[in-house]
Amino acid sequence: MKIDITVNGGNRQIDEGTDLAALVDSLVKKNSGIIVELNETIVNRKNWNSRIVEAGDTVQLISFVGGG
Amino acid sequence: MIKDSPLIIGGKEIKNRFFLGTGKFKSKSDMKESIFQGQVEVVTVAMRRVDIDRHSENILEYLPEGTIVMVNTSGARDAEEAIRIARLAKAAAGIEWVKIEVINDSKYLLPDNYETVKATEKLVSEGFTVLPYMHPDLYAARELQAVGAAAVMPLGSLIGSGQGLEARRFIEVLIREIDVPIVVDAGIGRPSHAADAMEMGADAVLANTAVAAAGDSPTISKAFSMAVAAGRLAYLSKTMESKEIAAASSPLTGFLFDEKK
Repeated sequence: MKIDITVNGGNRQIDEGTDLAALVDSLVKKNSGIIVELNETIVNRKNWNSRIVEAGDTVQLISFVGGG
Repeated sequence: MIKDSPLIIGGKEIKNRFFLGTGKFKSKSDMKESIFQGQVEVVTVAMRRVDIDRHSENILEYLPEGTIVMVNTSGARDAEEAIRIARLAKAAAGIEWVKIEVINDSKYLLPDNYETVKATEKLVSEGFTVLPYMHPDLYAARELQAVGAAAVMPLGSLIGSGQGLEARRFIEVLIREIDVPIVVDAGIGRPSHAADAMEMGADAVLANTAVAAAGDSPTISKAFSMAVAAGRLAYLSKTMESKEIAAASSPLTGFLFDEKK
């Protein structure tokens, strides 16, 4: 079954029961240096494959970039 | 020979008074080389959502070990958003230096001093070393100092404009009246601008576009470091006063030729 979530401000449909690790891997080639926020709370990398993304969740993939 | 007193911010002694922003470089290696050639100790970085279609690597991996990394809160439109960015940087990478940048207008990118004071107060209370980027207003600078800012960063001119020290008179006011270090940030275009700021008595200068957009970034980064050091020495030496008329440098007697009759 598909559920609706928000990723980086945009709507996405994912399979129910998808964990954060699988979600991140489906979005980016390399996940190094990426910070993941789930519903405005950072999820530690080591917990990515134990956190299941639920319907209505807001996910942000963030990284450090060059800036002045 | 005059000995300078060290620049101390957030309990750290900083030897190079030239701070460098890491945005807009031609490549990450160009940025890395610019840090190296300028012997830069303090840099700024930003935080952004990952561009899912083309995620590039983590910029922190390109910074030499020992670099003091200051996260800017660019993108924040109010104090709350700035506070959130700082907390994210701390949780994600242990970064505790934050350049508060609260901007609500995309044309001039002028900082909102009111929101900046609010964010500074909150983040100082959470243990951050806070360097707020601000429009050089004496009242706001006093507030920032009062709430615990580690330094104050008045703009020289509009971000990325390269116009130099358009706000010089107001920066001078801050230099005279504010006790925490003054770091001139924004609008610096050339090393001579940076030297000028240091001669005025600023404690440090931050530039980004001036280096990233130059023809040769690593070389100009070195020039900036030299200019900042030169300007600092000039300030410490107390430069001469300027005059309206000439004053000869060679003796006025013993000329080789008689006066014409």
